[in-house]
Amino acid sequence: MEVIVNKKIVTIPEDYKIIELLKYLNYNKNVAVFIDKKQLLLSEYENTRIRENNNIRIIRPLGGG
Amino acid sequence: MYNKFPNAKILKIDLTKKEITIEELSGDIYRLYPGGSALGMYLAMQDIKPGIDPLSPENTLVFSVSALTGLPISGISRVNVTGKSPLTGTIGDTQAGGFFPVHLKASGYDAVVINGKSENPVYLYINGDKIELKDAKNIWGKVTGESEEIIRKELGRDDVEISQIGPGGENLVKYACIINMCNRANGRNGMGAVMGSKNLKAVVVTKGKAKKAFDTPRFSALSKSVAERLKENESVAGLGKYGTDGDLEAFSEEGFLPTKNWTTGYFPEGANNITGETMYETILKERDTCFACAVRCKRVVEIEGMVDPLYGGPEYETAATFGSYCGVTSLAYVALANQLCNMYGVDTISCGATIAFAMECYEKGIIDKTVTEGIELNFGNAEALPILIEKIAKREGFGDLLAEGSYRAAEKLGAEAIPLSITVKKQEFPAHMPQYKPAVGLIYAVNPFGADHQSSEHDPFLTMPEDSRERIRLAKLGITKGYEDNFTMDNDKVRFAIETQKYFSLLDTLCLCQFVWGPSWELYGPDELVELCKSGIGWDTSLYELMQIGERRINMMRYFNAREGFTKEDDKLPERIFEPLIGGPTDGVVLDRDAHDKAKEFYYQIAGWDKESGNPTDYTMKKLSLDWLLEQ
Repeated sequence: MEVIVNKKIVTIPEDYKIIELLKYLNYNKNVAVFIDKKQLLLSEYENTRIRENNNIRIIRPLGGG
Repeated sequence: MYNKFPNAKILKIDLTKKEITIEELSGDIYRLYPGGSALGMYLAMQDIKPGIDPLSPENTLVFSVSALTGLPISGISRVNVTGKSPLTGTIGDTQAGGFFPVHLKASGYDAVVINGKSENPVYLYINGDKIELKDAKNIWGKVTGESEEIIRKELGRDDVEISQIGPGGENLVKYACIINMCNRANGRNGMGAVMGSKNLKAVVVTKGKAKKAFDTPRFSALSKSVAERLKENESVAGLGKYGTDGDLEAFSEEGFLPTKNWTTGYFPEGANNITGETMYETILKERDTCFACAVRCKRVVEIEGMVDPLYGGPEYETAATFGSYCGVTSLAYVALANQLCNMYGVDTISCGATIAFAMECYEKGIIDKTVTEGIELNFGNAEALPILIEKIAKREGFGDLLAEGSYRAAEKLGAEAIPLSITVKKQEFPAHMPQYKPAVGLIYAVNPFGADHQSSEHDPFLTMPEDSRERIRLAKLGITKGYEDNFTMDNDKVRFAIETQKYFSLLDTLCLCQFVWGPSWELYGPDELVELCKSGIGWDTSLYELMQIGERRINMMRYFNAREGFTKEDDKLPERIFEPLIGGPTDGVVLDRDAHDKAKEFYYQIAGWDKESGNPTDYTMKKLSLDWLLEQ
């Protein structure tokens, strides 16, 4: 199925969970995730299923150093 | 059961009179300024008169560690250096890690205060109670690696740690630094030039033992939890693996990697080459560490015949300033530039940024080959880096102009050049863009010692979900609001900036590493910091007392600057930050000037600073037990 991730179309298997999407896109869990403008809690990454046409935004917290 | 706060032992050196004295500061006072930057400020304010030339014998240079230094736990070995900065004209303040800090403390001293000027080059040798000023004529002019070797040979012992200047400091380069282990820099604000102006080549300490904790079982529980914390903390674990440079390519992908002297935030042609991951896969020889630290973020790189591992490896700031700022795509040349800065003792951030400024001047026709002495100084000219670093450190020809820093160089080159100097209070920007991190931009503007990225937490952590480690810890400082993006600047963001600034100010006072001890993503949060103080030295403290210590130090610095004539007029970001970025995903992006200006006004208000001058009011000074300064 197709979803939008950070303004780009991404094709992923049906029933993908957020945690699986993050792994697929080479992100670790340490990111902020918004689905259709609603922010997920960290504890929801494991079980939240992605639906077709979801608009997903992932923000990497890039810090100092 | 807790301890009385310990007294501080202060070693005082008058280089003019060749006098060495030892004083004690009572625990009651030390508790208000419990080390590092705050203790440095307290001691500097006793001696530095307003209006002095920072490179004259009237300046004071303070090396300081903290009441906690020497405890065997990660992120605890930092040394602070304080004095009036020749680069900014403000108070100067800079931190470095390594092993020197813990051994300075083990020698029995919390601070070394250096006044006057030696007639001839000397180095200070601290061997417990035996303190000597030793002749340094034979090492004056030598690069850091050579000096280390000669000093060890002369003393006939390897069990010493050496904090020293290179030729950059001797030649009074405005952004010269102080280096220990040949690769740990008290980098910013030109403290190396202050040391050079005093004819002091090095401070050498013999190695001692780690400090015993007050409550061993409690302290051990805290210290041993580091393995589990590292396992659970991907950010810090990533720092260990890829160093601070691990996110460089991600910054470029987001469009916020300062590139070609801050004209763009996008560096697709070079970001992958110079990122920490590539460094890890190609030239990394080993991951080094500071005393007792499990993170091992320090890079050691080697390129046979080109780069010597003795001089460490590039941090993110170094990779950005010599890489993307200059449009240089070669990791080898970035690593070589890092080595030369550490050999000659110049700050990699100001040096790389000043060369990037010169490159833009060249491309815009403000300078030509007659000025650059034949160098085609276009962006991307990697081979120009080593030539220019050497000229800067030796103040030779064109290098003499660049040794003044980009702002003073621009003043000499004329009005067209001034907007190309990306500085606040004449200090070059580190590699974090205010357009991406407006709270960091606010702190760049108001920070007492010029643009600094290690003086507050960065905006992106506020986008993390409310059940994340970052947000849970920030809530303990009263920061509860989350954000859907990095770009919003409102009153809550200002509160985030100022509260985390106080926290970082505390960390620089307690001489703690900001990757290990912090208010959000780091290994240990605010609760553990209080526990460290309690179990480590029996200091029955609270987060309230600790935050007030951080706030006190900021206000002392701002008060110092006020005496020098600084006001809110000096808290200005360069115009380029409000001009559209060119190219990449952030094409056209600017920092919202109106929001930034409003944020600054709100900052002064909640800091308790005067609306007109932007300096601390008498009320604020008194609230922070700083009445004694008003009476000076």
